Amino acid sequence: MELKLKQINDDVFELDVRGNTCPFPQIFTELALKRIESGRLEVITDNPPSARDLPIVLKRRGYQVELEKEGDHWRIKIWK
Amino acid sequence: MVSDRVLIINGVKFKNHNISDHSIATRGESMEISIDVGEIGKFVGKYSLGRDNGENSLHFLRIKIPAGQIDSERLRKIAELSRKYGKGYAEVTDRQSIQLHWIDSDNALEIFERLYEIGYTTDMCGQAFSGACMGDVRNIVTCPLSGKISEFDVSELSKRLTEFFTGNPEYLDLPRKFKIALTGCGGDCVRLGINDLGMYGIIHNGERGYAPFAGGSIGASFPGPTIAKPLGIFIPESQAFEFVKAVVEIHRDFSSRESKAKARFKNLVNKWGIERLREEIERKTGMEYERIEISNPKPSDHNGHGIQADGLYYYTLPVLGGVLSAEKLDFIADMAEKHGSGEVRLTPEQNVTFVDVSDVDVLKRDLSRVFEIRESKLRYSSIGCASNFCGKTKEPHAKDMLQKLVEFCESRGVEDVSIFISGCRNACGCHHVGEIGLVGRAVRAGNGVSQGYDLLYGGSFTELKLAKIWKEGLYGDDLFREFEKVLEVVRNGAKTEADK
Ligand code: SF4
Repeated sequence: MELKLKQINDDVFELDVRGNTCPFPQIFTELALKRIESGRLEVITDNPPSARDLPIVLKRRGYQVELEKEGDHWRIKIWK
Repeated sequence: MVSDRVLIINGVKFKNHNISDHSIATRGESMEISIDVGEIGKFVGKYSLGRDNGENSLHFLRIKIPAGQIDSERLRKIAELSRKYGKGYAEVTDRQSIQLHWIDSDNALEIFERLYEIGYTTDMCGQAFSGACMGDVRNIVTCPLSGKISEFDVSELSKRLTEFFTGNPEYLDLPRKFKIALTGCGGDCVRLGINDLGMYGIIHNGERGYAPFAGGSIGASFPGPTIAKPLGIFIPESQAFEFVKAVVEIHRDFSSRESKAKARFKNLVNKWGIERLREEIERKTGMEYERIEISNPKPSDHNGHGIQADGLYYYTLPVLGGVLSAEKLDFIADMAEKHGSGEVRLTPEQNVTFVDVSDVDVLKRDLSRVFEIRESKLRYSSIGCASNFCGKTKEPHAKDMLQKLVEFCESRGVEDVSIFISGCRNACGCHHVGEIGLVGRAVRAGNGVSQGYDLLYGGSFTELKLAKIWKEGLYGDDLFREFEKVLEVVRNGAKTEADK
């Protein structure tokens, strides 16, 4: 199985994990963060518990995080 | 360059985690980087954590126990998981799963790996999604004495179906979850009527097979609480697998995806009617099933003890509300090894059945060192949902209420009724089919809001009969006063009154 990490520009990346239940949005986000040296990762999820938990978990790990609701899903912005 | 790496998440190594740098491809303005998830891929579609929102638990883990059959070794492995990751707590669910709470998502992969090693998976908890999507086939409820008291061993079909649906990408995005129940003991010990598909094992003209019931679900979703209806056909045992598969596919392809509230199979069955459903199934399977008249299944349970076909015995230990602990799981494993074949069966009433027992009295004597053994209908058959964890109730939660009402009944010498309690209208505690049912609702009390309950009576899942409301929004002393009245009414055979 492969994840598609989209590089929008030099330092902005996007990872769409819609359709995945807990804990996979978190696990896939961690994989993508390992791949990115620096910049901003934007994770798209439609799983409400991930929108609840991911920002908390990531902040605990020291990342700056913003959560935005976009229609029926969320965009979680993470700075690395 | 492709590099083989070992990914370590929380101390667990996942091999062959490849990050292929050369896979950067230009797509218009943006580029795509492929990340191979390696070994983690084996968990996707087979494992998930559910959402908790109470008791300071954020996630639960609902481990599917295929056909409810589990051996001592696996019991101990689950006890270990409970001890290490779930504060030593465990529950038997009414779909014969084992549920742990307080699961930290950081430990998820480690837990999944351990379950994978023993061949277990979990429910895919897609109910958090707001749309009609990501529904899966839930643990298939199976007669706990399959293969022990009659030759009709429905657990073979149950396990085959579980194996087929688990992680199968074709069936992971149903409009909503799909619940199947199978029984072959001659009665209904699995609540056929409240499943999307209930398969009632019968012998018809000397042949083993099933009389299916379709479209049951007592949750609040459209069109409301519904008891499954007989399809009026006979499915020979050899065709049952294809039949069930066809019904699940019909749900997948035809149930509404318009909204979650309309997406349960019962809504489609209600819209189509039995005749159309039958036609669609027959079109799909290419079979023409024999039409049969089928009356409501006979009530059945496997509580207490009894003799197996091979001369050994079974014994069902009452576990009120299904609440266990790591220590109790270990103890059950020890007892299963000492007194039987090492296997136990979890029951749809959240109890534990020991099988292949040579001496029931000795087993009970041993069990009583750890369990309070009161073999009453009250303790065997009563249910309280996990509302304390799901966060839909305040105190008293469904399981607290159950404990209190059971003690209330016992203090009055009443032990021959069953109480089903749900924290909310999602009806996980099956209150709609309870002899006495309670369902939570918030009620205004003074300046604040209290946890109240509606009281229902006269339901029966074996007779496929819905309970009626006695009084709504009760709490405190009022609740117990009204409960006492309902108790009297139910015990005096007032089910007939409920039928009026
Ligand atoms: S019935 Fe309601 S309160 Fe109880 S477990 Fe289900 S969703 Fe939670």
